[in-house]
Amino acid sequence: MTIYIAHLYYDLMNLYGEIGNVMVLERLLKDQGIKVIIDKLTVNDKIDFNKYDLIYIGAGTEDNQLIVLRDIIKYKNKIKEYIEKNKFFISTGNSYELFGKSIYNNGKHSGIGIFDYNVKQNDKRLVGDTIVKCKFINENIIGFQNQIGVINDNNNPMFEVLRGIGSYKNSKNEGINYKNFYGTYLLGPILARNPKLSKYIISELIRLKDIKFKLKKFDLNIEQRAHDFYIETYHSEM
Amino acid sequence: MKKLLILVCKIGMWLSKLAGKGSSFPGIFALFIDKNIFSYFKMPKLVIAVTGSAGKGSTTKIIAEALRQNNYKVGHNIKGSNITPGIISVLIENSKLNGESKVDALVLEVDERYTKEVFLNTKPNYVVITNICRDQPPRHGHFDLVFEKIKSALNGNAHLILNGDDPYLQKFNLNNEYNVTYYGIEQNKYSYKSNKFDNINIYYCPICGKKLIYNYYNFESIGDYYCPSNDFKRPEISYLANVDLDKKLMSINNEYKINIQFDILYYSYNILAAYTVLALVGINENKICENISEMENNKKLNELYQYNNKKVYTMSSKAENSTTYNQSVLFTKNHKVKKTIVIGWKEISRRYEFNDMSWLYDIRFELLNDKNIDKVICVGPQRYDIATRMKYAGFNDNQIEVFDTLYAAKEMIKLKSKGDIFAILNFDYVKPFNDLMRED
Repeated sequence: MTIYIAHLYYDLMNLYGEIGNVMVLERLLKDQGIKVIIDKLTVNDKIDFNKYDLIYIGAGTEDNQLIVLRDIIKYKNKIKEYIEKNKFFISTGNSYELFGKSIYNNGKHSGIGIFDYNVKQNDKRLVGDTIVKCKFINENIIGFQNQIGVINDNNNPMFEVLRGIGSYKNSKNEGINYKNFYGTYLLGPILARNPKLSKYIISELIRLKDIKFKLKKFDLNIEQRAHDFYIETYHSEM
Repeated sequence: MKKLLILVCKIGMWLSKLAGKGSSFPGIFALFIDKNIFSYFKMPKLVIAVTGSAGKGSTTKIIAEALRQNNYKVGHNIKGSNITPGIISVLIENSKLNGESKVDALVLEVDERYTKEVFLNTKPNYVVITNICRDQPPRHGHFDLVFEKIKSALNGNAHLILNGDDPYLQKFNLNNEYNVTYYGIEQNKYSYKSNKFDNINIYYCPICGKKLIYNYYNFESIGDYYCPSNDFKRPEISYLANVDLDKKLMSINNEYKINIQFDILYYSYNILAAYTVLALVGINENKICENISEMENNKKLNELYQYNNKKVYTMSSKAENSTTYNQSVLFTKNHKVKKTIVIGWKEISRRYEFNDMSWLYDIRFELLNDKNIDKVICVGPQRYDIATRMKYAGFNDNQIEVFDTLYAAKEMIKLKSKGDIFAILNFDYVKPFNDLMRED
């Protein structure tokens, strides 16, 4: 089996070590004996969405987010088609703002419009550790937030916020999950810090490609220790 | 009134010295008495400010020491109190009761976030901006926000000293508003042709948006670059150095030679920044070379010593600053010997209790993964996060060791490690590590 991954805007949208998410995807797929091909794509590259099994995009500066918005918006229909086909799309940090109806970033801009939310700017940056839970992982998910954007009208959240910021200050929810689109403000890199989440994503991704594929046992011992140490040390009462 | 206030502040300074309080305490005290305290002081004729994400402490120290060697009386926030109260403390210490300066020059290390207030009040003649790299993201947000902070602090009178090899720094003068002097380092043995790093802050031309092309890289985005549209390129370099890291030698404009104390590239950039200011101030360049060559290596930053039959390299890196770690990584990679690596810290930050780990993935640890590495020893509270990063850098389980403290790692480091030891440590582990290595 070969899995094709597109790392979109790998240069402009890699502000908080988010290439780590791509490292995890690559490594865990290879551990399953799967061949992985990663295309690093950016502005002015021609993106053939049909080619990919998974697309990843990370966080960027506010200026870079606008440069990317101007480039990615021309693929609006292709992206919609891709997501509707149940293919995997992972978007972290402020890149997930791109997929809403509008973004306020130095003026108001139209988003790609896959989802109904509107992004506003907070008066100051929101920064801090975040702990969330979701329906499909039997473990709390940990991450970090560092953003100026807020989303007040996300009606389809992926996570329930247990500690930390969320979609806006003191919000109770965060992120979006529609079919196999996973969007979240959580940095981390979220896949490196949450082994059960990365195992889930990888398993689902492989299942979609070949339902009969026999998964090998995942070796995520070190990652799990890091995750558990964090929870036990800083949030032992949870 | 003014005299009385400065006197009270000076008494406060002496008392705080007696009580062993921090060097910014007199400034905090003075600001408490009068928030317009800056207006009481007259600046000396020469005020040099150094800011940037990394290297400002070392650069400031070199400038201040060399000026002293050349008979300048110098005021300098030597202990790194680089925010407003620390700067005011320097002024209190170096002013007479009537507010006039007792010194010929002020050399100020200034925190990026405080540049506006400090520059407005101290009116530096020269401003050195060493670099703007990814640094303490929870505090700074990101590099563009730091750039905006410093840019808004500058005024037309300041003479900027910038690293011309760094395209990001040219953004300060795209409109040619400032008098700028650039320094840079020529292609050398360790330069390379294609980008090795992921934590790059500028890939595109700030004028037309085309991707920059490099003739060579010295480190991260630093090198000889140009835009294919011909509207942007590495500027004309006034102080151009050839660096031979193996011989620990640099020569500036093919004429002036300096012995460098530690063969890490960034140290050469810091020296060059300091050299440029000193030359512009009018110090004889032969004298600058002599002064800098005789300066002792800043042992708080880098050290090399022998332990039994091993060489031990200690490299102070700053947690949440991937550039300082990448420097240590590249330095380690360039030493092609059998080696053991130690990585760790006690606290990610002294300022806050966040557990942001993202910066570990901005560091290109993959560069270390070659046949010369025996083991990577991960130490400290976040040892498993470090170990996870090492796993994704390609090290196998047998190569990765984890310990919660340096003491617990002692036997592994001192007795069981193979090859030379390269310790890539946050500054809070440097002294404990060196003490551990030197104890019986």
